Amino acid sequence: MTGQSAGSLWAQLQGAGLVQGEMPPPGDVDSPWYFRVLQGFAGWFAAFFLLGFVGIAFEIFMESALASMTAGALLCAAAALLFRARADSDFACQFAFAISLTGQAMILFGIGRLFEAELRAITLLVVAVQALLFALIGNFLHRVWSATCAALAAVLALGAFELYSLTPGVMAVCLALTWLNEFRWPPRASAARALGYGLAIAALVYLYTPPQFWTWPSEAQDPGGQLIAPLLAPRIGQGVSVCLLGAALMWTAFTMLRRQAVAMGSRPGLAMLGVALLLAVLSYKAPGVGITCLLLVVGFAHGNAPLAGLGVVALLAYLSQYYYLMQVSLLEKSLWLMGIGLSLLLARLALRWVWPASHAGSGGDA
Amino acid sequence: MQRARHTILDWAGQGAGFPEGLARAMQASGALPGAEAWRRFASLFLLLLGTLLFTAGVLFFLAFNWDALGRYARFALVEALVVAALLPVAWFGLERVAGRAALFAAAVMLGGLLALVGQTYQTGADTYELFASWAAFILPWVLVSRFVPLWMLWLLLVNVALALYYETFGGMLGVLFGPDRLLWLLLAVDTLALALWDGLGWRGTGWLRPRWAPRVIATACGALVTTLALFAVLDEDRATRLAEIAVWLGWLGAAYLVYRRVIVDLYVLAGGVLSVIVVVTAFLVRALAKNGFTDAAWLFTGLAVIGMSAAGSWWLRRVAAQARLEREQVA
Repeated sequence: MTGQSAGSLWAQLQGAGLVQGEMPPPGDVDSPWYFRVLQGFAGWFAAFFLLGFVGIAFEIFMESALASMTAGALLCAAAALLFRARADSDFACQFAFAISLTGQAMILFGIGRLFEAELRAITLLVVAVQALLFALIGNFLHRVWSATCAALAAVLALGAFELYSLTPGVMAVCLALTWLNEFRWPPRASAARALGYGLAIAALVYLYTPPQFWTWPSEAQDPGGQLIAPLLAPRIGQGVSVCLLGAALMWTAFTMLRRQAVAMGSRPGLAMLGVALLLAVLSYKAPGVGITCLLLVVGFAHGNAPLAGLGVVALLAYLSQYYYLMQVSLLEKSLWLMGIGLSLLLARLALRWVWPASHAGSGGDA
Repeated sequence: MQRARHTILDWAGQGAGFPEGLARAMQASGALPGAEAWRRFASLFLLLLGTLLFTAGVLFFLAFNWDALGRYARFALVEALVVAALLPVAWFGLERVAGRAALFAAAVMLGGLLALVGQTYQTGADTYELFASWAAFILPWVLVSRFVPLWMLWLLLVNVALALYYETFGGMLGVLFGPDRLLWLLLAVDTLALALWDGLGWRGTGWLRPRWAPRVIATACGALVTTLALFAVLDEDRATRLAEIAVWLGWLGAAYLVYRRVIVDLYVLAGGVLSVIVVVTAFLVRALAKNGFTDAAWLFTGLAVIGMSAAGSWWLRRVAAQARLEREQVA
C-alpha cells in the first residue's frame, strides 16, 4: 500500500471515528510469511555452524554443564541487546537470531547434562527459558521460535507427568485463547500473533508425530525404577480433553457471532453453533480434526490466509499420521472418519436450508 | 484484504489509537469477512472437509481388508461408492464446486478400487503400475474437471509412478538409470507442468489463477534442482557436474525472469534465495574441508550464511516494495 492508499484507508477509518491521532509512518508491510520462513531456515543453518565453532574453539563449554549454561545465557543476552540496538538491520537481526539459537542449544545441553533423565525437570525448564526469551526479545521471528519450542516442551511435559491424554484439549484452548484475543490489545497484537503462530506450528508438529514420541516410559522419568502413578486415568483425561476442545470450538463460534453482531437465536447463529457442536462431538476419536478446524476457521475469520493454510496442512498431516495410530483399530478409524465426513456433508445440506443465500444479510455485517 | 490487514496491524504495532477497538477497525476496512462471506465459507468448509474425511475413511476401510466381507461384497461396496460419488457430479454439474468435489472423491476411490483388484487377485503387477494406471484412468475426468486439486492429485500420481518405476528397475538397470536420472526426469516433468500451468494462467485461463498449486510445483522443482546442484558440488568426480550446475543456474535465471518480470511471485524468488544459500554453503564446506574443517572454517561458514540470508532478505524486501508500487500504479 502506498503512502497515498494507506492514507486513504487512514482517512476512511478516521472519518468513521475508528482511529485517532496522526497516521504512523509506514513500517514493515513488505515481509510475507515465506520471507520469515527463509530467515528461520538460514538462522538454523548459521546456528549449526556457530555451535560447531563454539564446540571446537571453546571445549570447556561442552565439558561443564554450568559453563555451557552460563555461556548460552550470555549469548542469548547478547542477542537480545543486538535485536534491541539494531532492529532495522537485516544482518544484525539475522546474526542475533543465529547467536540466540546457538545460546539456546548450549543452555539445553547444560540442562540435559545437569538433570540427565529427569524429563519433567528438563521440559519445565525449557518452557521457562523459552517463556523468558519470548518476553525479553521482541523480534517477531524469534518470538515465533520461542513459542513453538515452549509449546512442544509443554507437550513433552504433559507426557512426562502422565497427562498426555489432555494434550489436544489444552492445545485447542491455548490456540483459541491466543487467536481470539489477537485484536484485544492493539500494541501487543504482534506478540499475540507470534504466540499464536508458535502454537499453530507446534500443533502441526504434534499432530504429525506419533504419540509414542511424546509419552516416554515411566522408567525413563524415574531412574529408581518406581513406577509413577498416573495423575489422571487416560480415559478420564480423554473425556476432559474432548470437553476442553468442545469449549474452545463453541467459544470460537460465540466470539465470531458476537463480532458479526449476529443473534445466537437467529438462523445463522444456530447454524454456526450447531456446526461447532457437531465438530466437538465428532472430534472424540479424532481430536486432530477439531484442532485443525479451529485453525482454519480462525484463519478465515481474521483474514489470515497463512494461518488457514497451516490448518489445511495440519489436517492433511494429521490424517496421514492417524492411519498409523495404534490405539484405535483401522476399522474403527475408517468408520469414524466416514461418519464425520458424512455428518459434515449432511450438515451442509441442513445449512443451505437453515441459512440460505437470501438470508445472507439478516445477521448484519456491522 | 490482506494488504489492509497488514497495514492496520502495522499501525497497531506502532501505537496508533483505536477508540472502538482493533477488530472494529479491521471490519470497517474489509480486512475481516462479512456475513455473506461467512455463509459461503461455511458451505465450502463443510463440503470440502466432509468430502475429504469421507474419502479418507473409505481408503482406511479398504486398507483394513475386512475378512467378514467377501470378495464380491468388497467390490460391490467400492464400486457403489464410486458410482455414488459420481451421482452428485451428474446432479450439480462441473460448474459447481459440489460437483467438482464429488469428482475428486470418485477419482480417489477409483484408486482404491484398483488397489482392491491388486489386493484380491494378486495380479503380480508392480506397484508403479497401480499408480500409472490410476493416473491414466482418471485423466479424462481430470481434463474435464478444471479443478485445481484434481490436477494436483494427478501430477502427484505421475510423480509417484515414476519414482516407483525407478525403484523397480533402478536396481536392474542401475548403470543406465541411476538415482540422479530419476531426479532429472522428475525435474523435467514438474518443470514442464509448472511452465504449462503458469503459461496458460498468464494467458488468461481463469481457473489456473490461484497461486497455491504452482507454488507447490515450484517447491518440488526447486528441491529437485537444488539436490542435483548439491550432488555436483559435493562430488567432484561426477561426469555430469558441469551440466548440473548449468541447469541449476539456468533454472534460477529462468525463475527470476518469469517470477520477477512476467508473473510477480515472491514465494518462488524466496525459494531461489534459499537454494542459493544451501548450494553456496555446501560449496564453502567442501572447499574449506580440504584443509580440515577448523574452528575458523565453522565460524566463517556461519557468518557467510548470515550474510547471504541478510542480503537475500534485503533484496526480497526491495523487490516486494517495487512490485507493490508497480501494482498500485496499474490499479
